[in-house]
Amino acid sequence: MDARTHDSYVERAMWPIGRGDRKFWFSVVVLSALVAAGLYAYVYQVQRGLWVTGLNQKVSWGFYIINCVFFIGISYGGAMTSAILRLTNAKWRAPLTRIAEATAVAALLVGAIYPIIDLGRPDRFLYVIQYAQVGSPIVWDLVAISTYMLASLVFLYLPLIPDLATTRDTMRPSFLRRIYGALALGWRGTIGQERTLQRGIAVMAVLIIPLAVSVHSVLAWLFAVTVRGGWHSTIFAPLFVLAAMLSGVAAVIIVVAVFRKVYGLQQFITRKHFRYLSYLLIALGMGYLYFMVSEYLTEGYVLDADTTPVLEAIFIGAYAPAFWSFTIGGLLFPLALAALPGRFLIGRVCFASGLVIAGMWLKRFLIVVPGMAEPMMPWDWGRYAPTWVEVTITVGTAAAIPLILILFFRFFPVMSVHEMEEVEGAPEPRHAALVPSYASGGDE
Amino acid sequence: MRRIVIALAAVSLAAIGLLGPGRSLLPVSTQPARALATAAPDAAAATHAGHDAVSTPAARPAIVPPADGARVIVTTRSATKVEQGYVIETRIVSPDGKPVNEALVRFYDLVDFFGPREELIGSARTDGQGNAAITYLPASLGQSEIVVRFAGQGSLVPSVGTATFEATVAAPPYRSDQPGLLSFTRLVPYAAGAILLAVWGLIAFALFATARGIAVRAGPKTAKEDAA
Repeated sequence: MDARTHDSYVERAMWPIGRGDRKFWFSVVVLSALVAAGLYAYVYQVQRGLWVTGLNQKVSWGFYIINCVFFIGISYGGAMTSAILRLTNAKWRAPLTRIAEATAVAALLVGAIYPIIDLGRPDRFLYVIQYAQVGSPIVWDLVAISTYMLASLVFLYLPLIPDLATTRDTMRPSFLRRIYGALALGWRGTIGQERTLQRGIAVMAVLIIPLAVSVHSVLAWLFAVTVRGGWHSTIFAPLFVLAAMLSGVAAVIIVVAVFRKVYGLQQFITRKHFRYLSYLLIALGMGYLYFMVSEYLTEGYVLDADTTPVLEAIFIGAYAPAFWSFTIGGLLFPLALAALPGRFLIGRVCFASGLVIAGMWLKRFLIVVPGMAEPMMPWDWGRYAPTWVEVTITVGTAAAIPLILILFFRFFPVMSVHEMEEVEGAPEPRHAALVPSYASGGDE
Repeated sequence: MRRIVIALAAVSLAAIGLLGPGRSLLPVSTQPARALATAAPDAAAATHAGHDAVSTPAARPAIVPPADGARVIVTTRSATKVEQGYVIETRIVSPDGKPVNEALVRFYDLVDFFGPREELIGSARTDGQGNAAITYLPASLGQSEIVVRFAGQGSLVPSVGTATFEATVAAPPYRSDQPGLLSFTRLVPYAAGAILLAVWGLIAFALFATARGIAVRAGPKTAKEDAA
């Protein structure tokens, strides 16, 4: 690759570092205000107790557990997108992986705090460690989420090392430059360093997939190992994994589109990237649809006493508007929208992704709330309506994700310059290789 | 589009399964019907039909069959095979002495579970002689009181009969800590711990080995770099 191309990559990926224009500060102020509002609501809840929420004796899981599953799902999609594209050696991944990995970490940071918010008294979180029982799904959850978070951070950091060195080299001597230098671990781009780095990334890319699967499976088992109707399902784990990938890919599409527009990356992230991402979205959506139909068909045909009231409530009862909105507006329509050929591809795919994200949140609501509200004894149903506290905390934490991303990309390159240079000139593989060349230590 | 149509069809099938004929949308209560009538405890001995009447404990309300109802005669005997426990037989006879055919009868054991309750142990239909029987292996040794309820048929009103027997055979106690399963579950924490350590070890390896490798191999630059 010539020096001119290298310079153009460096310029595009790194111009925002350390700078803040009016748009940036406006976004930071607005998002920080929303986060502060969420923080205020949380402090209010801690001071007064969980009675300020809509949670009650019957429906003790509401927005918080829905959001936990939802945000961790988004994280999962980001990590999987990056890992799978790396392992299949997809050349087009280069400008997307950094955004996908950062989205994964940001969403995970937000999703992981929800179990603590749901506890009401955060000090009781220590009991999970102090009185840990191996048979408790909450302990599985803690272990899986913490391990996955560690792996996601390492998976974000390793490919960042060469770009940290580039950032270091483009800066004037300063304290910040010394920090970049320390984080870059003395990277100079030697052949030996390249091999070592690629091996490390390959190990993490292989590891992150089962880890991400395990996290979402454990989240699903939190529901499935109970005897509640609508939860006690053997396919809940794969259903959750697919849902997570679907919402995660949709989130990556939107984040990529926003940063492409704001950072002026149109030259690097093209229609082709959105088309490929839309293929992923459609494939995952069809897979999810299949699993969902399979679950409802078997449960609806057998109609045992526990499941029947839940299915009735979902299909034709109080939750029917939410269910059919999700099925049609959050799944079938967006998939058709993304699949249709024609103009406005990027806009269409982004709109479809937005609908999918909203739909997947609704689906989590339909899993958590009717399952809890269902009468375990033959008397009245539980009722749940969120209060302003839950809504504010939800909005605040949702705003935290773009805030983390905006701040992150003010300090670190938005695209992996090193990776783009690496794939520059390399032919697109004719078929997806399961083991990338760097896994065996070879240079690409 | 074709897949979408197929998927929609599958959802419709699920809905048909939900709403199809013979299916109830409401949960079916499996709780046994309450006693038909209650009377003072000291009246109990006189109300038993069929078997040797034994008075119920004072805390339990006595079960009284209606005066104009069918007679529900209950007898018990040991089953041919010891492990089958006991055979509980009943005979339903109308007030005018005729056997009641094809009548549904339910058998309950009176148990103490937060107070006296009837635990459903089986149901059967009477034959042409008005007889019905089930086998029953009680959960514990000692006295068992059986209640047989006839739900009514045609002009016959619901009725009830009871019998008491001394159980000398009972089902083996359920053990959640089955030896094989116990030894397996004991291993689970160790296996989970080993897997977790392996995963953390791999993450640490990927991070620290990479960091060390990069620091150690910061030698001469590549030819590619030199050319650039």
